[in-house]
Amino acid sequence: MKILIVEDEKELLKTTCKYLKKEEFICEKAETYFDAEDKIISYDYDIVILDINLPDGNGLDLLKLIKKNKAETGVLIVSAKDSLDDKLKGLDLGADDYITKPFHLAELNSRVNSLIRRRKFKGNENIVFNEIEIDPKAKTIHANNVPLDLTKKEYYLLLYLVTNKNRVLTKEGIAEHLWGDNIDMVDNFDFIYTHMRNLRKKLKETGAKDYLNTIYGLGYKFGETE
Amino acid sequence: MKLLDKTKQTYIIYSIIIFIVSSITIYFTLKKIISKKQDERLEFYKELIARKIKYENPLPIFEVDDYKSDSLVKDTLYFKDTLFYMVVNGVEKHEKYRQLTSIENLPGKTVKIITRDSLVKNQDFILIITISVAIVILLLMITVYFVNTITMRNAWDPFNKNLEILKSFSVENNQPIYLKDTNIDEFKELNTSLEKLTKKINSDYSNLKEFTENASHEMQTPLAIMQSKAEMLMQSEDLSRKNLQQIKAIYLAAQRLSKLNKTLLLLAKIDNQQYKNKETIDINEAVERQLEIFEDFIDNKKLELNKKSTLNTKIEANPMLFDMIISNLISNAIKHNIVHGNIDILTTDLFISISNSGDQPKLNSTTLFERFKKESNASNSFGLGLAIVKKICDNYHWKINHSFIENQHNITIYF
Repeated sequence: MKILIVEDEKELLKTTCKYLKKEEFICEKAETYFDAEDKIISYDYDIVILDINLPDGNGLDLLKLIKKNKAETGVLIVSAKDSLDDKLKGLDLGADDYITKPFHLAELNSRVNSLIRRRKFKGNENIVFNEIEIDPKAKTIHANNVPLDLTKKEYYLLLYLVTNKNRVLTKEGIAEHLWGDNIDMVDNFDFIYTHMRNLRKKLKETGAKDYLNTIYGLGYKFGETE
Repeated sequence: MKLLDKTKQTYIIYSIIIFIVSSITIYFTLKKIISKKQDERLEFYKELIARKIKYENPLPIFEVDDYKSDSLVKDTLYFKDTLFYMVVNGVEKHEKYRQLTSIENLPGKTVKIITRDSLVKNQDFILIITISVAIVILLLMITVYFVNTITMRNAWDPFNKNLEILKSFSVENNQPIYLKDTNIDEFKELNTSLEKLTKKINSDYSNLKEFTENASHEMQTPLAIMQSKAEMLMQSEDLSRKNLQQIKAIYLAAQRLSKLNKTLLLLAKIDNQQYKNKETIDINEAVERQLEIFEDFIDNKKLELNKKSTLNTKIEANPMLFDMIISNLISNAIKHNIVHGNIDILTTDLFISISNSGDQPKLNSTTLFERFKKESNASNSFGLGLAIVKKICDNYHWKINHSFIENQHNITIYF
């Protein structure tokens, strides 16, 4: 998958690229409007992550450009402004998703993967990780071909973990993914521990390996233990 | 007191004083003058009579008696008021008269001449004049009073209208002020100054808002960098556990700062009327939606949830803002609750009331809604949740209040 990241802040650009590269994406960078315009016209990308607050031009114009010439490309808008108007305008102009800075890299990753599934595979392709198979269309998960009886939150949690496999995920990041911005009003995320425990139990019942690793002091990591 | 009333009052008091003083002055002055004239007349007649006697002219009617005096008496004049008995039309009367008794030493005889004139006439005369003048003065004063009042009212009218316009000026509306024209110089000057002043206020406020918003947005990017770098570092397999924990702390701090920034920005936006549009919202639906989101949190604390509502629970408001209110209230009800506690929600189309069990709050029911005021310093929250709720309520002129009775927190919003 080829991704173009349009972001004027160098450090952010570097970090995002590095993170996504690990996912086996090919990452291209563009720091200015004109650089981005150039790249968009010359090459084809699967996904463009677009910062709309660029110093030398309006990111929304780039969005229009992409929609006009490369309609197959999925666009994820990034903005420092949590403005409803910007959001609506962006989505109206054809953006697929909208995320505000600052964001968890894991969250960005989730959204990008989600976007790819929607666009490239029309939501049809199943996500497979070893013995775990996720059907995003039916919203069901099978482990060792045994269907898991999951609550809505547990489904999204496992999907998130699998998408961000082999990454250290913080409790805060997980909570924000599942509950949105409201969670900052609650003091502790201990109940995430409960969810994880339930998930672990259900997976174990199907005979699947335990991929849920607790990283002390940081959070969790889903993947093969070394 | 009102300006017009003050001038009226002053005018009336002074009018009355002047009226009384002038009436009295006129009366006594008139009396004095008329008395003097009367006395002069009495004296004149006395002279006439004396001369007639002197030159042996016949006197009308009156008899002349020789005035026999015991001793040689000088010429004297002696005025007095006296009661004169007389019968008029068969009615006995005692009338007041002014009498001049004079003793004249004429050649050959000494005579006592008494001349009299009715005082009653004078009295009536004086009274009539006094009353007439008094009435004229009174009429004058009344007329002046009304003319004055009307003039004043007309002169101050544009001022009063402008006062009303000023009262409705709100810097948040960012509308210029249009004051009524007047041809009174002082008011014209006042108008000009006010228009300049309000223009400057609006402009300064705009600049301040713009600056605050820009500063906020600018802050988001470095915070994003901090957060993302920290997240990358957390993935590292080379760092010690201790290092990783420090990095996690940095990450959390950056996140917290970012949230604080966003929340303050939200407060500013609400102020800014950026959430102006309204829709018809079903209160129950909104509550249900939020309860679903917080389902896990409620279960985690094993809270008992009770919902009651009337059938029709609709309201006109911005859906995003309303969701924020409900979300904040429910999360507070969860956060400040005890394990196995309760949450009771009652919704009607006139008010919504949320009660939850909890401990005695440290903050009182008013400080609770102030910014950055929170129950415990250890908590992760900013103390802005209820401030946001209050701001939104103020925006819609809804009344919100809190009480703590029998270990139950109660928050009610009246629409």
